Amino acid sequence: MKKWTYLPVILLVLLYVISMLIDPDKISIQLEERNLPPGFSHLFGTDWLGRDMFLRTMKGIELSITVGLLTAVLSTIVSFLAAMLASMHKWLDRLISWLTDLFLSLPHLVTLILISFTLGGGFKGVVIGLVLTHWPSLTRVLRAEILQLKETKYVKISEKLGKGFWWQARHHYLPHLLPQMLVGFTLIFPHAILHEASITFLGFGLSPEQPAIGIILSEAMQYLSTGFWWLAFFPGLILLIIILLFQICAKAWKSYLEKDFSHENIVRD
Amino acid sequence: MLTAKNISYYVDKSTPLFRNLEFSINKGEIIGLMGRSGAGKTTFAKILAGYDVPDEGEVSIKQKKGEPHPVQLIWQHPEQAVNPKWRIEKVLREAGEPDSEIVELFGIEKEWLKRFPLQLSGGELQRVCIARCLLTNPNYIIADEMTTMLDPISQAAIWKAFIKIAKQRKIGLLVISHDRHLLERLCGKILTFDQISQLK
Repeated sequence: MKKWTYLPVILLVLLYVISMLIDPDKISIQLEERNLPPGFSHLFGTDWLGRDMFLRTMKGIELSITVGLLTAVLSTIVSFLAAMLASMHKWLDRLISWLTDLFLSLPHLVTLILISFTLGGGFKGVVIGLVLTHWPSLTRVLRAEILQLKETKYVKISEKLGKGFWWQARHHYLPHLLPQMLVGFTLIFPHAILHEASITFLGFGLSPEQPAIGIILSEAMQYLSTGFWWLAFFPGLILLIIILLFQICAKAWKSYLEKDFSHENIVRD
Repeated sequence: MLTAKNISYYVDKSTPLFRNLEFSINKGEIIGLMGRSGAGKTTFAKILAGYDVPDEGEVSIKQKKGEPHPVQLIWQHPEQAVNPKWRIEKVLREAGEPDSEIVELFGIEKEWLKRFPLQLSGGELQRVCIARCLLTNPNYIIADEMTTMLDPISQAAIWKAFIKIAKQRKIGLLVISHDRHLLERLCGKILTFDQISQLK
């Protein structure tokens, strides 16, 4: 990896750690300081209850990144397992293809609301709902890759050399699929954050006292028309920066994994 | 003894590639097989080594679960037979602990082990594939046009080492090739594909 690609990783981790360190008790209601525009005492201004928007945004970022990462990792794993299962037997393949089509034919949001609502909402409901709705498209890609890989000579030879299915999965399939999984992961991450925000906005997700970015944005909507632009601008900007940083990291990592080693200056003893 | 009885293989329901094929080979025996292109030599090799299932008939030796197949096939194109993302060391290790005798006999140099398959030439890679196949201690080896893509000098070197090891370990060897002169040098017995497939 090139050196400069470490910068976004460091920034991302730094932002996450800072947001974790913020004491939620500091985000208190101070009515005498309400609706202040951005300034030195309040970097991102304050809202209609006098809460500091900088602190709220950072806390929201923490929650969003946690939900996003957790969901993206879990759904990538689910996709990989589903695709591997599909490659094991003809009937499993049919079943999983059918499930994939089923989930893809339903609008994400509807399934997500149903699952999250059934599980009683909250953090758990949102994460499980997001995981269960975001695996199908990646599963499709991975399944196609596996079908192709299964026909290569070296995988067939591996079986004749006495290697079992899970050994092959670990050593042949996983390294080959990793770049695809990484792309899938990158695509799921912002999706998950935005979906989390939307169902929270609709009232089926996280509870309103949690400072999620989705909640901040939806609350800000009522005040935008009265000129309090900073309520939506800064949280939105930070969300955008997070997603961009994340995508730069993922891109660098992906190109590293896909690198063609044949031109590497060889043989370091 | 490895035997194939009454093997038939159909391209589709009405066109057989070959029919009622009979073949047998003992341990330690070296047999050559010739045939025109498109006769089904490679398909037959794949059936013997368990890569393909015949439509009729049976092969006497089958793979046991979790163990290497006792009949190993060496492919014509070594670059397709190894995972391009693995270093040579891992390619060899897939078959078992690298045996220094085999590694030396086929002239596999230590520094290759850290390289990727694309960084070796075709001949070097084929030697790696042969060594890998030998590491599973097979009873029978089928060499399907194994050295067709190599220059005569590497061919000679590879066959010399290969025959030596096959004799030493009493491996039954089926050599499939177009090259009659090569087969005459190597094999005690030469069959043509038309003879065994009884299609004339």
